[in-house]
Amino acid sequence: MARRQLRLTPSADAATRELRGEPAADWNRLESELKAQGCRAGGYRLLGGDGGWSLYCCKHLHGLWRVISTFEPGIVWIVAVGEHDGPQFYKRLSDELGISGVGRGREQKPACCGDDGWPAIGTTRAGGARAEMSPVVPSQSP
Amino acid sequence: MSTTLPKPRQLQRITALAHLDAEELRIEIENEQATINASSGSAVLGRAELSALLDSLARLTERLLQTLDVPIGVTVDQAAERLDVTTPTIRKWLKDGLLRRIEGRKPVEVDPRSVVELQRVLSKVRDSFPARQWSRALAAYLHDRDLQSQAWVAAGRGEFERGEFVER
Repeated sequence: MARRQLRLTPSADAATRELRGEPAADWNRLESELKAQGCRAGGYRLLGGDGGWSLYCCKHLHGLWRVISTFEPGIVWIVAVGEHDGPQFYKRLSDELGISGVGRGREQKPACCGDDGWPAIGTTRAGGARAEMSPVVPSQSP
Repeated sequence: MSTTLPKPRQLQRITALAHLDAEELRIEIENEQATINASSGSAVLGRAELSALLDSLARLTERLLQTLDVPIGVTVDQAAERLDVTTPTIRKWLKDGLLRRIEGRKPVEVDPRSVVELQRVLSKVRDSFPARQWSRALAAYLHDRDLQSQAWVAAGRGEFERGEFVER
């Protein structure tokens, strides 16, 4: 199967070049997996601001490093790469909302792709964020 | 129907509930308008007629909200009942900013629009993220909101939306 084209936003490109050690090794591995497997290597689908599925997926690298991606047929977009202070978030969740330790282990659910390819989750309206570009076609596996 | 006039306090509560329903109606209409504007397909009603209908409903709702434009929110108990959570949870959500309080009202009152907005988010999150515990779904939502509010994500999304990229 043809390998996917990898497109990184300038800031994501810069962030990946500054990675060192284990996060860098994870990124190198992920880069190959994304080119070979597309959204199946994208981690989990993020929820949007309205509570529905968003256009973006999140993959954890070593430590607090996160890779935010989205997909088009044959193209993998790396939208952002950076550190998310997850422990601080979960502490705040516990202290202020009384929700302790839940939400962890997101890597397993829900998958970035969905059963029927990309976007194929709920009411995701992929492509809306970039009207000037080709919309993401549902039910394909980029 | 009782002929006894409600006491002022009861009237306040009735007003608060009416405000809540009006806010819900307004949000529903806003969503329908957005759907119509985004859709290019034909509907049972013509697009123009349907849009005019919704405009009319929106004006009606706006008048209703202006009538009810008093600084009265729903009580913590009412908000808890509407959102199907406990009152301590409502107080925590107020503290965290998930709900807004009406300034200057004692005891604490909750902004009806924030209740309806959160109700919609909770409903959608529960559909999108079918966890056994609603708190797990909400935690997932809050986690993703927190992650996507990070400056580095916002910067990357901005570049993505402008079509800026480096190819590898």
